[in-house]
Amino acid sequence: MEKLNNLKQKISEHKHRQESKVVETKNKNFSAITVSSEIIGAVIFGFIIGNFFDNLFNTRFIFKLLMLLLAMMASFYTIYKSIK
Amino acid sequence: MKDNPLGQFAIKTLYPITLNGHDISFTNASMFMAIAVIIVTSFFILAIRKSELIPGRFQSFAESIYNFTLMTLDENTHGKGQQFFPFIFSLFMFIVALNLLGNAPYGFSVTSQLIVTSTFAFVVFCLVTITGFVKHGFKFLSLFLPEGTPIFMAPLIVVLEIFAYFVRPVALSIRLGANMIAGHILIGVIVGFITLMGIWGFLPISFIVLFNGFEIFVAILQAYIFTILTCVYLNDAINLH
Repeated sequence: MEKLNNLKQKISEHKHRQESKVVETKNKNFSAITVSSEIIGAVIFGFIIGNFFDNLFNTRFIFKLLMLLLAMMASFYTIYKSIK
Repeated sequence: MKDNPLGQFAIKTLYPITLNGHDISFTNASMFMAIAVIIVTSFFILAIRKSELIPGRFQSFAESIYNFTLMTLDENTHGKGQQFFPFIFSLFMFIVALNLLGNAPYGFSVTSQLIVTSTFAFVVFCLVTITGFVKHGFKFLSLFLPEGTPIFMAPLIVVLEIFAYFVRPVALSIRLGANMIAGHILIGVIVGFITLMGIWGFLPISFIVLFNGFEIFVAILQAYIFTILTCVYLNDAINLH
């Protein structure tokens, strides 16, 4: 009886693992689909924030440059995470 | 639309209202949002009015949409996000209705207005952030430092994670808005070819008919993507890593 119970538990754990794998794969596929807009979104966000700080500190383009650089890095990081 | 493909996105005031100097007029966008709410509400009221154990076609369709949304939420939040179901379901149905109304004759695509999609995304962003802090307190900030990050990489990763977190609502709104704008502009441009091509004008018309079918698919798909990403972000707030 105990062996049967162990077997039942192992089957249910295996099923649960399989289900989580399916969900993970689905999420990864969606991340891949949405990667392009992540890049565009990052660049727009970087530009807006950079422009805000440039106006705040009366600088010409240093913050825009920094934030756009950070935006590109963040978008590549997002791509790396979704591929991983 | 023949002269300017962007003319279809113009906001027109239907009933001017001013409050303390602010223009809060009832526009064509407001009207289509109200129509979307009426359509969705009426659809579900009619579908479940005579609910039976063995559902008819109408009830079955409504139930399958309900189950589909619930399944999407459960899969992505591992069954822990059911208290957000009313929000997720309303969001999905509202976006689907708005997208489909944009494809209807004489319709107006509200979701092609970036201010509307940005508002949706901002609400989702606030909900996710507040949920994260309510559920985990300041431990929610551990979201910005993934497990197993080497200590020398931590400062850079934290900055990138925070940046990527704030990019989410921007990407979410642009994705939905841009997809709706692109399809409508393409149809608007091709409409211009009908008269230009003379006797061959039936070719652009056939393309528009086919493309409208594709646009219906895009309308539902984009609403689904918006919903599933909301669920994914909610999962981050509920289950952390």
